Amino acid sequence: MNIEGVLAQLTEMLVALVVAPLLMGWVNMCRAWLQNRRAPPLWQPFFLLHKLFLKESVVAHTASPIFRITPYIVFGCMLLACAIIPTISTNLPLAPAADAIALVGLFGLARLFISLAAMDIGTSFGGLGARREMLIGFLAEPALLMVLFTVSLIASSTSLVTIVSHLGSSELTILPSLAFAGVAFTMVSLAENARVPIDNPSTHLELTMIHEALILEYSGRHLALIEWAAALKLFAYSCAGLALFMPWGVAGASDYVALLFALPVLLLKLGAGGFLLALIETLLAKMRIFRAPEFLATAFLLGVLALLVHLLLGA
Amino acid sequence: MVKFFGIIFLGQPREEKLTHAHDAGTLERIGLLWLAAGCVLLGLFPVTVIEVIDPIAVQLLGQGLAQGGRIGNWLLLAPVSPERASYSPLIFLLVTSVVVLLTIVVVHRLYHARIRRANAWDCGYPLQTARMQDSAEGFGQPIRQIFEPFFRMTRQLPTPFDRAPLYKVTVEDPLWQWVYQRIATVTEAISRAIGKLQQGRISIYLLYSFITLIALLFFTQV
Repeated sequence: MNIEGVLAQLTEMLVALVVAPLLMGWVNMCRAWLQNRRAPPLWQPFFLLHKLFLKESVVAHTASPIFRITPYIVFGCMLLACAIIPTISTNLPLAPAADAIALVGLFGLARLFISLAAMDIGTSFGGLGARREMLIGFLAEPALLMVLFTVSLIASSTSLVTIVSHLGSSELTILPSLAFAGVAFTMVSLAENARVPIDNPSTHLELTMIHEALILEYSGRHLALIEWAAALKLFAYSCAGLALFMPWGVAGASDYVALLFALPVLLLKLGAGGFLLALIETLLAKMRIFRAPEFLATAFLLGVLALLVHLLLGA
Repeated sequence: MVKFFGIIFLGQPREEKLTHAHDAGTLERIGLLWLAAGCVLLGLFPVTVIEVIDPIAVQLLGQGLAQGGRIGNWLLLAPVSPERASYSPLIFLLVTSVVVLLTIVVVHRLYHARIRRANAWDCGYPLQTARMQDSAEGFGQPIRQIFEPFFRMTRQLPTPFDRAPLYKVTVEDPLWQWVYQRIATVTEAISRAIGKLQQGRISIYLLYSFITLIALLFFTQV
């Protein structure tokens, strides 16, 4: 570990903290344009966070300490996830602490705590949200692991940094297995980030909500942290997707010129990804909850297919 | 785990008598605490444990994790090399805790730490009771519904007009009926047929011995 690495690591965490709400704002902007509405400004999520931080937190009489610590834990998990995914540099001292499989565990830890906090108060919505979140989680995780296994087989490493340097330095070839894995990863990301077609982030409709039901009891700074963590999660998934399937432009160790270009390249890629997400959300309708297993089973199947294509064809 | 912990420890007391429930004594808690501490230590220092149990893997598979060099030091679990795969639970825990603590401090310093206690939101229905909370049955219901083809389920659902509504569901493994039940039926039939030989009277058994002797003599003659 050297000072350069520590700096790169801290920069990356800072970039994640700033860019994640901006990405959220960008997706909302694109969605508004696509739906012929006037868009809120790009930094609207920051206004929202600031407002929520200023408000007092209302906590139920029956809440236990789990309820109050959960927003901080979820936020910490997401920030750590953003720290170990190479977004602008592959010189990350934290990266050896967790490889791609531990990353899935990190998301699982956050999910565990947020579900427990939802059940803590004992209202019906909390239980409902926790139940549905666990359902989506246990269907999405195998598909996500399949995608990660495929990519790690290609790069013969589960370390995200090695995967990025391996795929980023190889010449541009379209591997059929990566194409399958990419589609599967997109489907899993939509489900994990509570986006359309699995969940709609902009409604509070009792019958259909998943993520909003989980956080219904939160307010003030707790809600702000959870919203920020949700933005960080979207950022982490987007960056993981970019790292696995479009790793060009990420700077290596002591490559200062590349480091200078890394951030604009990342923003460009995220901008395109955010537009695509808004397009998907505009074109698709939300599915019934019991259609979600079919959606995620398809993602799993595509993941298995990618693995088989790689093993059988070596491509 | 969410289901077990959530249903048992979280939420409101689901039965009347549970409102008077209290925590276990210190000694009782210590009894379970050291088991839990074992789990935590196992998670934090996996390398030490893997090195201890590695000879078994070598004996069974002919190849262990630690072969061809160490699997890392006490801090970093890296079976082949850190470039291939690595995991360091201690750093993981440390960084997460530091980030969580920093967030708490920064949020409280920059903004405030005010908290107001209030009733939980009842969604416009103030007559909610603790019995209306999610149960273990309800928590697992979606998963069971998805995997319905793999189970034999019989449901007994109440109608809206029932005076005393009763909900009952039995879940069985279909393999039990298709495979084990049939083997059991065949075995039972065979043993019942053999059981007919056993009459429980000494004269019958003497007759069996007599017939056997005659048969043996006959065979030796031939």
